[in-house]
Amino acid sequence: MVLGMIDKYVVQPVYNFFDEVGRIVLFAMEAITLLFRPPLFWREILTESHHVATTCIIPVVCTVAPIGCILAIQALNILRPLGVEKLMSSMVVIIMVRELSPAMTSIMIAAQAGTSMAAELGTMRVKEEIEAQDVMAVNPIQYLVIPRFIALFIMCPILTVIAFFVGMAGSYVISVYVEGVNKGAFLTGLWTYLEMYDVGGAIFKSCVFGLVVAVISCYKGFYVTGGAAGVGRAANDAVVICITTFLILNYFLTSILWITM
Amino acid sequence: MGFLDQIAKQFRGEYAYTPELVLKEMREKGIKIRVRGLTKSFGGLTVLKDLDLDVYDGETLCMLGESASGKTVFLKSLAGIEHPDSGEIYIDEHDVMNAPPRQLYEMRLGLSMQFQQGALFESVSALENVQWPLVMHATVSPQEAEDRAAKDLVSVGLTPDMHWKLPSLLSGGMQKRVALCRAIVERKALILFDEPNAGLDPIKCAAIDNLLLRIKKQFKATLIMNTSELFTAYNLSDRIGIIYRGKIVEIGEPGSIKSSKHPYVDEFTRKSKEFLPQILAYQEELASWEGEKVDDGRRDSEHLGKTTGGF
Amino acid sequence: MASKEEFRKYETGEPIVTVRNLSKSFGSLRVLKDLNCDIKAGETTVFLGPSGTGKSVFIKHIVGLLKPDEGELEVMGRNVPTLGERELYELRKHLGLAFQLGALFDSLNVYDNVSFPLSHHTRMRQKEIKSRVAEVLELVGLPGTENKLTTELSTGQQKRVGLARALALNPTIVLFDEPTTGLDPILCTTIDELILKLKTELGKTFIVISHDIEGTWNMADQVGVLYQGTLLRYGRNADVRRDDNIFLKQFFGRTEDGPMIGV
Repeated sequence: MVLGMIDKYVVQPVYNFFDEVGRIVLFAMEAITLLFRPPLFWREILTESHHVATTCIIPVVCTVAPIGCILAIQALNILRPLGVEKLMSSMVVIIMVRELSPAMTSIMIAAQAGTSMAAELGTMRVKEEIEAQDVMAVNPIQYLVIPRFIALFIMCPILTVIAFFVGMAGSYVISVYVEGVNKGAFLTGLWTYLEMYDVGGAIFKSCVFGLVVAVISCYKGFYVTGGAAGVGRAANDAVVICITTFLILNYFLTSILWITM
Repeated sequence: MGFLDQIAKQFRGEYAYTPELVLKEMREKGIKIRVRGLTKSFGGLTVLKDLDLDVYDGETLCMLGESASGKTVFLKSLAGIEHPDSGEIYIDEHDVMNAPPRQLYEMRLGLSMQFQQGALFESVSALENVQWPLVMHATVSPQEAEDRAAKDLVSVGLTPDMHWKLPSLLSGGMQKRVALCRAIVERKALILFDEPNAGLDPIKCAAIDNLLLRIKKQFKATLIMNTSELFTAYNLSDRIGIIYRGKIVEIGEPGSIKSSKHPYVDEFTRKSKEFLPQILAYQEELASWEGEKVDDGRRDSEHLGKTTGGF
Repeated sequence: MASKEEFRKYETGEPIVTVRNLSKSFGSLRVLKDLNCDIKAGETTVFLGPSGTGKSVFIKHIVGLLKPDEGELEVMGRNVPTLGERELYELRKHLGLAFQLGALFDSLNVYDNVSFPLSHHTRMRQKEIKSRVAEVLELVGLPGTENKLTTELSTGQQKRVGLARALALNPTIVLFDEPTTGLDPILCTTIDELILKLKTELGKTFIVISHDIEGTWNMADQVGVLYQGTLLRYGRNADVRRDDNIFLKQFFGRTEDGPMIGV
């Protein structure tokens, strides 16, 4: 009885978790091996990149700009009484570049592009389109999955850089025009602590996040079972797993890249 | 475990070929596909049980059977997209059961398949669907691919104004035709049809049958066809295989199936026996029919599909 | 007020649905052209015809989902096109509908599917509902499947569950949309026999639309053949079967040669 309960509520979930993780890793490995085997479908890569860029840009801008504003207000709340207003922009830019723009961009990409990929691939699986491609001697991983991998791998950093500029613009507008911070102080403060290393780190992070979104949502979509309900579940799972994964991963990446010993 | 095996196979990638003795025997007897002891179960449900079959080169074989009798799984196993638990499948020199994915793709260059639900790509037009395999394999120029696809679509009865419609805007019968067209456009030596006319009304059914008959006569390809329509099987096939509970219980020419003593086969064909004379008489009478078709153009009206498509 | 009167019991052979000069157009297309027929109580009436000829549209008129442009339609003494929403719902409680693909709720089990109309349209107690569900499942030959999910069932079983749901409210008229389309001959026969059995045991009126010709000969009392909105022939089973009309001959002979279009 007790053993049965342990089996059902502890052993099985843990087993299932590692089973799933293993499958995801194998799926990613298979895709990456196939990446270096011709043919590469250029047209698909372009359409997918275009799709990701056009659908994600507005959500990214709409989330990152307000966050820039908020950061400016809260930073000023602390720094103004201390009389170090000019440090405000240095602080905001560090948080924005190192953390918030990669994280927020990837969350929006997971929510927008990730779910749509999972749902799209899932529908294709349910309608046997993937099998049909298989029978027509076109590897569906090469035709469907790899273009999506590449699209996310390229678009994620680009959108992150855009998000960084938008976020800083947001905080500039609030601090200079609303809070009355000196324009010159804000602009010089930007370069006090920021280094190229930070920008590189942010781009590296966002590449990793892009791959995480690609692997998880494509995996979830590609192996859908259970009809229309299964497609819905896959899209839902994809976004939740993506966001949890890279918020956890974010901690580890940050500690590797920026921890001060 | 199966999943890991598959991945391992992918990385190892050793090609698996039909044993030479078997291949020699197959060549001598003109056998294209040999299936032995094929078994597949999903969960506790056994779908295919020890199925043996030889398919001869250039013949048309109809597989008849109930829904859920394992016909589709059998066809998918031949194409290598379903992985049976045990058994042997040899298609020419390829050992399908043990072939790594790379070899399967090579083997599939020699066959094509029409899926039960059509499996048309929803996001592109009918014409693009049909030319897809030609474009992907890049055996011909894109322009020629389009021409060939358009020509085939016209030959199955889709007028050029329908070529650029999305599959979802076409009626059920039209979708079947597009799917059929995609299966034949490359003129493969082995074509698998999964229920080419299921769920269509008798007239549409007859139209598809005539189409298949034409394909059979023109192509000289090996056709394997799943169907639950007796008349299709009688009209088209060189041999009929009756599949029951994952096994082939009877296989032979249409005539021998009609007079079979096997209880299941008898039950299967009984319904039609009574009415067959009348049907044949009417068919004969109308064969020489000449006149105008009565058509009020409702197939062109798209809104009708939405208002009459079931409830 | 005609609709206030009680729904009376109909004797076998009495016309329960009368259709007079029914016409319906969608845009410029006349989908139903001047339909006339009497459907008799206690009999099975099958409407045959190629797909896209207006069979479904016709059935939708009977249950009041569509209103005709012209003509009259009386179901159980009520003039359907003139009924208000409330009266229409009253009438529909006496009509059981079984859909083409079952139209079962995927996420619910068989019990919830079959009890759906009962818990929505009656004040039956949980216990009574339970026994009624068991009863109708027994009728369609699926006893004891209450707790199965509909996705676990085969196509034939799903059709039976759809029929059970249609029967749950004990309707006077059962309408069945393409019960055998896409099924193999053996399953077709079992469904046909089921309809035949229910008709004789329960004395219900069945209106079936179908394009399964052999099944029709086996189960129908009356047969109507529709082509492009016109009712070509309406009459007793045996008469229709031997009719000389060229359209009918083509349809029954399953051939492309003839005036009906096959596209």
